[in-house]
Order: sequence, then C-alpha cells, then structure tokens
Amino acid sequence: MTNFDIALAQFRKNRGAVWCVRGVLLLLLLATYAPLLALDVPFWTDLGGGSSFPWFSSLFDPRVFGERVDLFFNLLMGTLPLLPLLWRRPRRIARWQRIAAWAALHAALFLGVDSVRQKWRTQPLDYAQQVHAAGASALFPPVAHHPGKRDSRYSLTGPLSRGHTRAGSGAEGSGSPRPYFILGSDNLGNDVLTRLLYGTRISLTIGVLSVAIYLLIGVVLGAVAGYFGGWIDDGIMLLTQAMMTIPFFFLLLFLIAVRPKTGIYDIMLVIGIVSWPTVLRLVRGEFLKQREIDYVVAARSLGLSNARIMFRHIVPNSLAPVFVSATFGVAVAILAESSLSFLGLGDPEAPSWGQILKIGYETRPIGTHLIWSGGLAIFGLVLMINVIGEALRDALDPKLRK
Amino acid sequence: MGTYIVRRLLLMVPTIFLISAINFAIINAAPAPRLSNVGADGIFDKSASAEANEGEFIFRQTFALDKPVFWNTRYALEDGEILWRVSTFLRPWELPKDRRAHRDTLIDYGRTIIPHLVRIAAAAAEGAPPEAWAEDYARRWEEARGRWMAAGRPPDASVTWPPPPEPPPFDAAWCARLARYALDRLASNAPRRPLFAYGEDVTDAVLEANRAIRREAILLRSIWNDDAATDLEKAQRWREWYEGRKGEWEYSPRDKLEMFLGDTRFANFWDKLLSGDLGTSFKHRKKVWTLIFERLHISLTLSFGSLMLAYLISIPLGILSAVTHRSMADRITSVALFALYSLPTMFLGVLLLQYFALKLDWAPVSGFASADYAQRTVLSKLADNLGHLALPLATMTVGAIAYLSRIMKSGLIETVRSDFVRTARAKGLSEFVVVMKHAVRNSLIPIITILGASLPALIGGSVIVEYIFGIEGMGKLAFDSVTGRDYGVIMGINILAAVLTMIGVFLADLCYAIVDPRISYR
Repeated sequence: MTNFDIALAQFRKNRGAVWCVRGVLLLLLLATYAPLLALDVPFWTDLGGGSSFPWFSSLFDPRVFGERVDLFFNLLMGTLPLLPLLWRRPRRIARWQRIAAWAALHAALFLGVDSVRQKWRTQPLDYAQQVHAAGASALFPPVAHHPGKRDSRYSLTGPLSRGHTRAGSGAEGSGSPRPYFILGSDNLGNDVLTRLLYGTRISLTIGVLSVAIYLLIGVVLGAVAGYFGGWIDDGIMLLTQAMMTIPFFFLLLFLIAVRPKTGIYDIMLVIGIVSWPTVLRLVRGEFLKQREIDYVVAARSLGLSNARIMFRHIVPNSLAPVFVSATFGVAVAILAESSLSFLGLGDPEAPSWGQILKIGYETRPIGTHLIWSGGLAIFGLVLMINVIGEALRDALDPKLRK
Repeated sequence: MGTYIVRRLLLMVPTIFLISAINFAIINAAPAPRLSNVGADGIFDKSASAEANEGEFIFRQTFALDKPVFWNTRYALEDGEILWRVSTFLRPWELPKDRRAHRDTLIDYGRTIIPHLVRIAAAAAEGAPPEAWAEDYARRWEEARGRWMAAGRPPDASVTWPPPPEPPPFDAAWCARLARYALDRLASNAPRRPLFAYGEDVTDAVLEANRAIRREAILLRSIWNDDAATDLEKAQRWREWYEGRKGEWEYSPRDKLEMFLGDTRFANFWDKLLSGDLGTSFKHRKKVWTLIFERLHISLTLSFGSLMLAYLISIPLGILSAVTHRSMADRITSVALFALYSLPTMFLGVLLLQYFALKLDWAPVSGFASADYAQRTVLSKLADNLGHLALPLATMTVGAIAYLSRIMKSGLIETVRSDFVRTARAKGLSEFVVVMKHAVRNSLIPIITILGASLPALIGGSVIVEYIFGIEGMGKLAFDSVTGRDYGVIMGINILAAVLTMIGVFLADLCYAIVDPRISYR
C-alpha cells in the first residue's frame, strides 16, 4: 500500500468528510448543469413556425451567457459525463493520460467555441412573454429565470411568491406572465435561486483558480528558497515575512483599488498574488528537511539538473502539507471573493454569493431572504471545504493513524 | 535574550523596507490617469491642461508619477524625440491611444521640454521643420494606411476613408500646426505646476511660490493669447523669454546627478516615507496621518477588545472541552465551534445587525457613539460606547473564539498525555491542580504563538465589521479610499497596519519566551 492509499483509507473512515466531499461534488454538478435547472429559455417551444429548441443554441449565445466562466461550465455539461467513463478504461492508456486527454479536449472545445461564438447570436427573445402572448406551448427549465436579466417590476419579492402587482408597478396588464420566485428576488428583480445556482460557478472557479495561481508561485519560490538556501533563501524569506506582515485584506483592497476595473479574473489574480506566503513556507520547510535525505543525494550524484531534482523528486514528496493547505486555501479564496463582493468591490455583473448578501444588507430590514440565502450558501460551501481540509490533515498525519 | 531582542529589532528594518517596497510596486501599477482627451483637432483642446482633473493631479504629484521610476534622464532629451512625439500627436491618422500616450508623455515631461519646444516652434513658424519630419511623415503615413486597410476603417472619425493613394502633401499648413501645438504646450507647460497643500501645509512659502508660478503662467499665456501676433512673432517672443532664463535648463554635472537619481518616483517615495510624510488625501483634503490617527483608537479598541474577549473565553472553553474530551457535551461544542469557525464574518455581522439591532432593537444600528455623546457623563459615555461596540465586538470575536479554543483544546490534550502530567497524577495531586497548574501552562504555548499570526487577519477583518456597523475606523477609511481611489490613504493604512502587526508579532514572541522557559534565544 502506498502512502497515498493509506491516507485515502484514513480519509474514508471520516464519514462527515466523505459526506462533505459528496456535497461539494453535488455543488459542482449543480453549477455545471445550472442551465438545465434555471434559464428563461425553453427547451422546446412552438411559436407558430413549428417546433424549435432555443435552449441548446442559447448555451453558446454571448448575449445569454456573456461571461467566459459560463461558457466553460456550459461546455462542461457535455464533457463532464466523459470523465467517469475515461476513469476506468481504455486500460491500455495510463489514467493520467486519459484525464489529460479529457482536459485537453475540454480546453480545445472551450477555446474554439469562445473564439467563434460572437457570430452565433440567436435572436434575443423574452420567451416567457412571447409564449404567453401567443398562447403557445413550451417546456421551460423548472426555474424559468435568467441570472442577470433584471426586471425592476419584481424587485424584492419575498420567497415562495409571485412578483407583486402593485398598482403602478407596471406588472399588471403588460401581457407577460407573473414569474414565480422560489427564494424571492433581489432589488433589481433578479431571481435569487437562479443567481445562487450560477454563483456556484463563480465561487468554485475563484476558489480553484486562485489557489492554482498561488500554489504555482508558492511552490516554485519555496522550492528555490529551500533548495538553494543561503542568501537566496534569506531574500525570499524576508519578502515572505513582509508579505505576511501586511494584513491580507488590506493588501487585497490595495490591489483591487489599482486595477482599472474588477472582473472576476482580476479578483482571482489578486487573491493568488496575495496568498502565496503560507504555501511558500510549507514547501520551503519540506525542502529543508528533504534536501539532505539519501534519495536527493543519490539524484544529485547521478548528475541530474537542479530543476529536475527539485520539481521531479523533492516536490512530489513534499506535497502532502501543501495539499492540506490548498484545501483550506480554497475556502479562504471563496471567503475573500465573497467579502470583496459584499463590500461592492467585485464584479458588479457577476452573480456572486457575496453580492446577494450585500443586497440583503443594503435593503435591510426587508431583504432577510437575501441575507439568509447568500450567507448560507457561502457558509455551507466554506464549512464543507473546511471539514474536508481537516479530514485530509488528519488522514495525512502519521501520528494520528491507528 | 537581549541579543535576541536587538536582532529582532534590527530585522524589522529590512522588513519595513520590503513592506514599503511592495506598496511602492503597487502604487506604480496604478492606472495612469488619462490626463486629456484628444480633440478632433487637438491643438486647442483646453482640457489638455493637467489642472482639468485636480484629484488625479494631486495623486500624481504626491507620488511623483509623472517622473520615471528609477532614474531620470530628462536632462538629456533630444529635439528629435520631442518633435517625434509632438508630430505623432498631430497626425490625425495615428491611433487615438498612441496620440493620447504621446500627449500624456509630453505633459509628464513638464518643464524639461521647454528648450526643445522653443526651437521646434521657431523652426516650424519659419516654415522650415527639420527634414527628418517630412521623411518620417511619409513613412508613417504608409504604415498607418496599412493598419487602416487591415482593420477596414480609419482610427478616427475625422479622417477620410478610404485613404488617398499618395501621402498627403507636406506643406506650410502642417508647419503652422506644429508651431501652434508647440506654442500651446509651452503655454501650459512653462510655469511650474502649482504646489498643492492643505491644512497645516499651507505656509507662506507655498503661497508665495504658487503666486510666482501664476505670474509666470499669466505672462506666458498672454503671449500665446495675443491674437494680433503671428505664430512667428509669438515664437520670437517666447524665444526672448527663454533666452532670459536659459540657465534653468543648463544642467551642471551635479544637477544631472541630482536629477538622475533624485528626481524619480523611487527617490520621492522614500524621501516622503522617511520624513514621515504619507502625503495628502485628495478626497478628504487632509494629511493621511491625520486621517488615520483620528480613527486609529476606534480600530485598536475593536481589535484589542475582541482579542482580549476571544482569549478570555476561548482558554476556559478549550480547557473545559479538553477535560471532558470525547463526552457528548464536548462533541457538541466541537461541532458548534467548527461551524462557527467557518461562519463568514459578514454573514454573522449582517445577521446580528438584522436581528439584534433592527428587529429587537437591543443595540444601536451603527456608529461608535450616539449623537448626544458630548453631553453625557463619563459613565454614560462608557456605557454608550460599550453599547455601540457590543455587536461589532461579538462579530469579530466569534470566529477567533472558535479558532483559539480548538487550538487550546488540542494543545491541552497533547500535554495531558505527556509524562510530567502522569508524574503529577502519580504524586497524588488532585485532578484540578494537575490540569490547571501543570498542564495548562504548557499548553498555552501554541495559543500564544498564534497571537502573532492572527493579528493581520484581525486587523484586516475590521474592514468588513466597520463597514457593516458604520463605524468610522481604519477599516472603513480603507474601504472608502478604495472606492474613491484615494491611493495614498490605502498605502498609509497598509504600511501602518503592517508596522502594528510587526510590533504585535514581536510582543507575542516575547510572551512566548516568558511562558516557556525552555526556549532560549541566542
């Protein structure tokens, strides 16, 4: 049994953590298949000219899904089912090669579609109104709302209710059906449940990508510092010390302030740039421990290059603590993003969970449903990730093994 | 111990240096403000003067952003470069972003380009711009035409499309344009920029300097605005003015060295920082220091208050749950604490505000003190502050309690298993004495180490709490400065918070040594 298998077995014993992994996977599925659940475009409709299937083409329409994140997940709807298939077979090919091929396929699809999709515009229609007016039949997703198509007539609708028809609000007699809001609507008339669903995409993306960015910086710098030692180590550690001394959130704010505009990519980048010191310290510590161990000495005596020894031999052996820290890092990144959105410093267009909470705060005391839905979403995801991180730490710690 | 303290204090110097360097790097990444828009004709666009946007101007002046980053070689500018920039700006077929970039560079060059402009204006007014310009003009026309054809449209609505097959003739009209633009830049550039000062900085010397600048500006603009004079006469009169004060642009080797190293963003930044000047907030019209110190006590009350509270609650809580380890009560508290640890500050804060302040009306909704604070007695003042602080403190403390008590618990559990505790038990000491006297003291070490590490998060976390509860502390100031792009204030807060954290970490390390006599500092 390899070390990894032992850790996995340990991890599986922690039933709470296993449930949390399932919960996060469920959220990933919800994020990926959000358009199946919530979109204001019907799967099928008959608007006079025979049957049409506008839902499918709208997935790639830049006017329905303007953000690249959404396109990425929309394509994932098609490619994700391939992953479990490729996990087991074909046996001839190594698993990592199968997964890499899958990732390459997805990336190629994403880049290809992204570059040509500006020309694929469908006619933007308010399908709900069209269908209602024509008395036609249509099959909508269960929640017939778009995450960003606001309608101020229905602002701040309570949960489990239809949009209000106050006199003068313009909602009555306009010929459009009154939409139903399961979790209520925000001040602009967006459906909260839809925004929560699509917000999952943003939270997960931010969590994973910003951690990837800082892992890259932290592992490389930490490896260099720990392997070479001496003045390089001193210099890097001094910089790390300085970075760790500046309060994380202030540094984040400063970087956000100097960006001309903040999209979600800027936020990922900024979180990535600010958070590397913890990883660096872990990697450096492992390198200091391992660089005198026999296998490294052997590799060196074989005449391998420094880079090869560092990244092919020592880094794989020192990833366990980094792995744990990265798991917690995802939670921290998600929290940081939603804090920024809460403060109104995030992407104003993106349906981020923090933004829902922010609107709830701003429309207090009416927006209680916004506070609970946005806050519980953040809390739930962060809690699950923290439980997983905790379980990973225990599983990877040989002292705690029974 | 003494040497250790000295070494730690000495190590603070490079750390502060690096903290400031990081801030300097970020300030440099600030977007260059668009000083001007290029009008259709450009030359008479009065918004070209940098005074158009005072806030950005003050910002650029404070951080010397119109200067090069590390070294300044503007004493060695050449006529050719200035001519190139001016004429690029004048060519309507260049891309608007290039034209704007060249104009902004010229504005940044400031007074240093005056001798060159005088020469260019004189030559162009005589109708004889340097030969190089004609060649350059033809070549760049061809390049620009290639770009247009590739893009399928002209870069500027004022340019004809499709472009004529031959480069437009180079003629006297263009010389006049060049001369007039050079003269216009002279009119807006020749005076030194006024010094901006607020509050205590407005001294007689500053006022006098600004008056001198204005007098000079009026003199120069009057030449430019004299409609009776031709361009040639204007250039002549400029030349006379320039000859009279030529010395200002003749640099001795010493001047050059001073300019090369001293007149840069880098030098300016450190000069300001070392003299303790963090600049002026252009939003509040106050010194950054004043702004911060007006609010520092509020933030410190919040962060130290919550730190104290967190330690006071979490140490007994940790001990309790370690002693009752694996019992039902311990399991429930552990799960609850873990959940609280993951509870986002903003969610908790908004919930507390919503239910305790707005619905139940148990606590004030916002602020640090009531409106009638000044009229209250001392005790009532204190009660008022405490009332206002209750919810923010609770918000800040809950996460810390969850975190600290978990560390305390795991530390104590480990200590209880160790040999010396077993010995204490074997001696027949009561369980209470064993735990409280022997074990607890040793398990305090990790929780004290964490004090230093948790300070940055605590100070940073105040942003959200102060935002939610409308408390005018340092965090709120930072937030307001981010939305108002008041970079100087954010940088000041950043540096100050970092220094405070550094001191906090240092003190925590000292406490560490006091609690654990095994630790010797060499």
